[in-house]
Amino acid sequence: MSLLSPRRAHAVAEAPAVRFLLLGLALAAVALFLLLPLGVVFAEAFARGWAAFAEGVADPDARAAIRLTLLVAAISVSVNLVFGVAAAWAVTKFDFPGKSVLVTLIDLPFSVSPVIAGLIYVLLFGAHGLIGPWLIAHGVEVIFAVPGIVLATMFVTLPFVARELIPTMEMLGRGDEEAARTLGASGWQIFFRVTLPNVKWAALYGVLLCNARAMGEFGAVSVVSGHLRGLTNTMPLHIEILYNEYNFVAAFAVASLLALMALVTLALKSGLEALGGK
Amino acid sequence: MRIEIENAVKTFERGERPALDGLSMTVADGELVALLGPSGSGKTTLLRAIAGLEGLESGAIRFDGEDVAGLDARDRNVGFVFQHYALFRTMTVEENVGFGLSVRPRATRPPKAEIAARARELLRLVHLEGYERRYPAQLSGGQRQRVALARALAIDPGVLLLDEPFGALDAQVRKELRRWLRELHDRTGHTTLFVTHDQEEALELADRVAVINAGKLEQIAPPAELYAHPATPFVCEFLGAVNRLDTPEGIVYVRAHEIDLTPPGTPHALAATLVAVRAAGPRVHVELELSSARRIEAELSAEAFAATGYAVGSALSARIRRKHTF
Repeated sequence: MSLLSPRRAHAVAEAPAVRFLLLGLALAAVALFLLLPLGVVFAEAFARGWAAFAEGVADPDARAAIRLTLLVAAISVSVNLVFGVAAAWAVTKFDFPGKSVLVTLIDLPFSVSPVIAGLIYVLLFGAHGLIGPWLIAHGVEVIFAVPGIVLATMFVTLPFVARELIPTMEMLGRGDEEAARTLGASGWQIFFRVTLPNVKWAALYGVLLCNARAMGEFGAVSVVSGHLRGLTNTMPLHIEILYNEYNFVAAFAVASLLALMALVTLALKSGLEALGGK
Repeated sequence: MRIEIENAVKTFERGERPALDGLSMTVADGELVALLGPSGSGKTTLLRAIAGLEGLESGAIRFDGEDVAGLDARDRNVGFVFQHYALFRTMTVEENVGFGLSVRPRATRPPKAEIAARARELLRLVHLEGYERRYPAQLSGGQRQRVALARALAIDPGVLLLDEPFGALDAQVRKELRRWLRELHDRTGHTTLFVTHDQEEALELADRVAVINAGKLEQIAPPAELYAHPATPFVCEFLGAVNRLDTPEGIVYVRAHEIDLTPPGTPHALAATLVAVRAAGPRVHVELELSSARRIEAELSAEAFAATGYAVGSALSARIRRKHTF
C-alpha cells in the first residue's frame, strides 16, 4: 500500500478540474432534485404560519389519515417481518424443489406496477370479484375498507425484509445452526439464540425500508381505498385530495409530516448502519 | 465410547458416485483416530454422519453397541469442531463455551454461575484464560480453534469429532496445536476422530489412521504399520513419494527413500542416469532415468548425496532396498 498510494494520489491529482466538475454535478443534482423539493414542502407547509399548519394537521380527516397510515404500516411491517424471516430461513437453510421459483416470486412485487397490485385485489375481493361476493355476504368488507389497504400495502412491501435477509443468511451458511444442534439446542433455541441475533441488523434494516415504503405507498392503495374521507384515506391519499381541492397549506402540512416520518426512518437506518458496521 | 460403523452408504445426488460406499470400521473407546484421504473421498461425510448431521441411506452407526439412527444430532452428545469453527459471533467467548449447557432443558440445566465457572475452567484447559469477554472476531485463528474445542468439550461429549481441525491455520500454529491436541487427548481420554488430508498430521497425531478413498475404507492401522505394510496400492501411493515400476514380476511400488545410489554395474540393481537434483532442506530428491527411459525418484539426506559424489549426467545404479507388491 505504501508503495501504491503516492502513485494513486498522483493519478487522481492529475485532473482536479474533472474531479470538481463531477463533484459539482453530483451536488447540484442532489440539491436540485432532493433538497430543494424537500425544502419547498416544509416552506409551503409553514407558508401561512404555525396556526395554519396546525389546523391542517389537526383536522379530523387528517388525523384519521395519520392514524390509518400508522396502523397500515404497523400491520404490514410486522407481517412482512414474519414472512421475510420465514422465507429467508426456508430458502437458505433447506433444499427443496421449486426453491428458485420461490426466490423469483418474492421479487414479483418489485417488478409489478403497484396499480396492477391494487387491481388484482379488486378482482379478487371486489363486489363483483372472485371471492368478494361471498365475503361481503358474510359481512367482511375488503375493498374500499381497511383490510384491502393493508393487503395492497403488504403486497408491494413483501420483498423488503426477505431481500435483506436472504443474502446475509446465505453468506452466513448453515455452520452456526449445525454447531448449535450438535450442542443440544432445539429448533427454537437455535432460531432465537443463534440465527436471529446473527441477522438482526439486516432484519431491522429491511423493516425500516419496508416501513418507509408502507407509509408512502400511493398507487396500490389508491385503487383499493375508495377515498372515503376519515375512513379509508391514508396520508398520501389525503394529501392528494387536499391538493386537488387547492387547499395547499393543509396538503403541504400533512405532506411535511409524512416527509418528516420518512426522514426519521432514514436517520434510524443510518444510525443502524453505523452500529451494525462496527 | 466405542463407535462402530457398518456398511455405511450415502449418496447426495441421484446417479452420482456415493460419498460413502459401504464403509465399515470400528473405533475403540478412548482412541484417537485420523480419517485420512484426498478431498472428496467421503471422510467429512462420515464424520457428519456420526454426528447425525447427515443421514445414511443404509448401514448402521452404533455408539457402544447401540444404533443411533433414530437419534437427532442434538441428542447424540457429540462434540463437533467445524472446519471454520462456526463460533457464534454475537456471543462472547465465555457464552460460546457455555452454550451447550445453557440450552439444556430446565431440569438438567446447571445454574448460571455454574455454567460460567465451567466455561472458565475449560478456557483454562485450552490456555485461553483472560479471553472470556472477547468476541470471536477479536481472536486469531488458533484461538478460535481452541474456543471451538472448549465449546465442544463443555457438553462432556461421548465422542469428539474434528473436521480438518488445523486446515485453516498457518504451518507454525498448526504444529503447536497438533502437539497440544495430542496432550489434551491423553489427559481427557475422549474417543476422538479427526478428518485430515495431511498425511504427516495423521501419522504424527493418531493412534490409528483410517485411509479412506472413494467412500470406502482402504485400511485402518497404527501409523507405523500403515507405512510399513500398506494393504492396497492406494495406501502405498498416498503415503509419501512412491515409484510405480512395471517389472517382469508385475507392478511393484518403491518408496523414494528406499532406493540407494550405488556405482554402475552393481549386481541386483537397475542401471540409471542421474537427470535432475532438487535440494529441499536436509533432504535431496534425485531424478533417475532407467534404461527403459522411465524416470524414478530417489530421496536421501543431503550428506549421503554429497558423499556419493554424483552429479547430473552421472551413470550409476539404483538399488532397491524394499518393494511393495499387491
